[in-house]
Amino acid sequence: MGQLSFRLILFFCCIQFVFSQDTLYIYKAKGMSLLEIGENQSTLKKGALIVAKDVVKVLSNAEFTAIDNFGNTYLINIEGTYGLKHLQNFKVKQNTSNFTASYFKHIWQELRNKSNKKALIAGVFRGETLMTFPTDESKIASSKITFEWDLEEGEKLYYIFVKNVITKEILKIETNGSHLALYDDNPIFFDNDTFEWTVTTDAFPNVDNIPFFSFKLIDRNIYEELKKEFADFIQDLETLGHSEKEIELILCKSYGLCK
Amino acid sequence: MATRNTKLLWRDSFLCTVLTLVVSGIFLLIFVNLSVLDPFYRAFKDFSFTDIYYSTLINDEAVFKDVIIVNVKQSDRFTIAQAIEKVQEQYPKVIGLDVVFRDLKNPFVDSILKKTLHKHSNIVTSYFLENDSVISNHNDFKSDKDIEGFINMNLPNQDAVVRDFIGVKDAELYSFATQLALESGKLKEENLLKLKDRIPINYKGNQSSFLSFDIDELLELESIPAMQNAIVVFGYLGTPTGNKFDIEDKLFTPLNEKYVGRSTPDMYGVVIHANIVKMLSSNNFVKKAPKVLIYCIAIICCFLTVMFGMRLYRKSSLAYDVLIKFIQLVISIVLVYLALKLLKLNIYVFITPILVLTLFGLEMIDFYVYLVDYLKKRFKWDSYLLD
Repeated sequence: MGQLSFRLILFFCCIQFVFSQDTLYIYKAKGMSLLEIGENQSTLKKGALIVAKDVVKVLSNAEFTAIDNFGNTYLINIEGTYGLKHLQNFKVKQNTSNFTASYFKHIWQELRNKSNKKALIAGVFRGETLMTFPTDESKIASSKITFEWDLEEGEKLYYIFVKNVITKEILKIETNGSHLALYDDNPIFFDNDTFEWTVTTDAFPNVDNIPFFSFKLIDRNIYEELKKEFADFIQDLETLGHSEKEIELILCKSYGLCK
Repeated sequence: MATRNTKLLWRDSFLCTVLTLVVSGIFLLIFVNLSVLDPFYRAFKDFSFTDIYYSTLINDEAVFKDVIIVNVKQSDRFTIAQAIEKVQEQYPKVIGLDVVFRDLKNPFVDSILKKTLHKHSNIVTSYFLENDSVISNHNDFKSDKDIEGFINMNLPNQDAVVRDFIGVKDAELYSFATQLALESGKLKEENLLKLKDRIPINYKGNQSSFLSFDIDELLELESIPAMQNAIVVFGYLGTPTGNKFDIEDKLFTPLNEKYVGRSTPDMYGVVIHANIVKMLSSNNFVKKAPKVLIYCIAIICCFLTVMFGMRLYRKSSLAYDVLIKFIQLVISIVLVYLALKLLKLNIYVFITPILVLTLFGLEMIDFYVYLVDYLKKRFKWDSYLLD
């Protein structure tokens, strides 16, 4: 009898061990989180494994979703350093609304004709372009190229793509703000003077199917030459009392000729 | 007197039920055969009340890692070969290719893909059956060790909405998902027999319910521990991944938010395969109630509601006329609820015949009254409904 009890206890201990949640897998990751395995440190990426002895460092503006073997999800979006046990505190609560209640709520909504009525348009919506500067077909006479874009609600990370139109080489940068500056000594700007850029919230967009704005790098002499084409306009602006800086800004914003 | 009335009630209920069956049979024949009414028949043919369960009521937000999807996008064969090699380095249980390489393109690139496909013994390739012919990979990509599965979703008698599937066709042809589950060692032999008949797919969710990788993303990663011992399926998930406007290899499923009327396809083919693989590998089958049982229940329900309706009619024909629509509404809500509740318990009941006969039986009482009235005048016919 005693032996049987011992075996049962041993069996249940084994079961407990087998079914314990001692691993998590990364389902998706945004921003920079680090995984420390012993003395090694690596960036936490999709598909990575977190075991009991690992330590995860979540940096600012970063978040990741992990899953366990039973399909439970864990959303970690607070900066800090966590062990596996701590990560398990971030378990996402499943929607446990009662089936019967959900059904009768649905029937009630149907009876009241309260279905979600979205606006129906017969046109192409192109509101998703975030890029604000440089505008399309800009000419820039500066060693510093600043990219600016609108922020999208709920999105923390943005992916800037700068494409060399001749070599099709693409520079991809992840950032969390609304602007980014690059200098013309960046290797992407070698060998050519015409480029395209775009910004998305998707880390892996189809670059053949998203809008790009083009810009050209010019030197100061060409800038001055092109500026002469706007001589009358500049004169009008001077008459109105605009300073030289203000006029340059207007030329840049309105005509894409930037210094 | 009471016994006589009871007998008459039983007889009238029985005869009204028979009348309901005959008339509904005639209506069904008209709907099926008259081309002018075809749109109505088609609209109803593709509708199932149980779709409400998946489209509206399912709230399972679980994410599974034992079936992993890789989006091949529009990648070339070289990239796909590289991705297969990358996945193999992670020691998956099995790799499925929901992609058919029918023709040869570039000799060099094709040779790389061929070498990759021949090198590994845990790759399941796909083919499909069309007009009695088999469309599969080019012979150059095939070998003696090939494991193939068919990817047809519209086998005979299936609707445009993918609700069920056949795992084993003609005793020897295995579906793609069946092959994946078998090769992974997670499908029990005894369950293989069940797959000879059409069985409902126990959907776990759409794309977000499975760990998935973009092929470019996959190639950038150094290692993917999640793929160890997993079933990895290569297929198309849109370009870019999850693009809602991309409908290539996208099909209608019960998970479609718009479960009746016109809508756009909602699930990529590879996600349907992933759902089937998940169902097979976790032995989480939905039992389908036999048709005979459903029609027996339908006739019994029709008989009982007709009996109830006749009693109400006898008490007050005005109350009957006023209440009948409300009763029909309540009955339909309750019957659909019961069907959905059973589906939640993994029992699929085709509720439409039960619902139609039950509601139609109540409608037929008025016509039955006219009929027995005529019979009474002509043959002195006794009826529970006539004084």
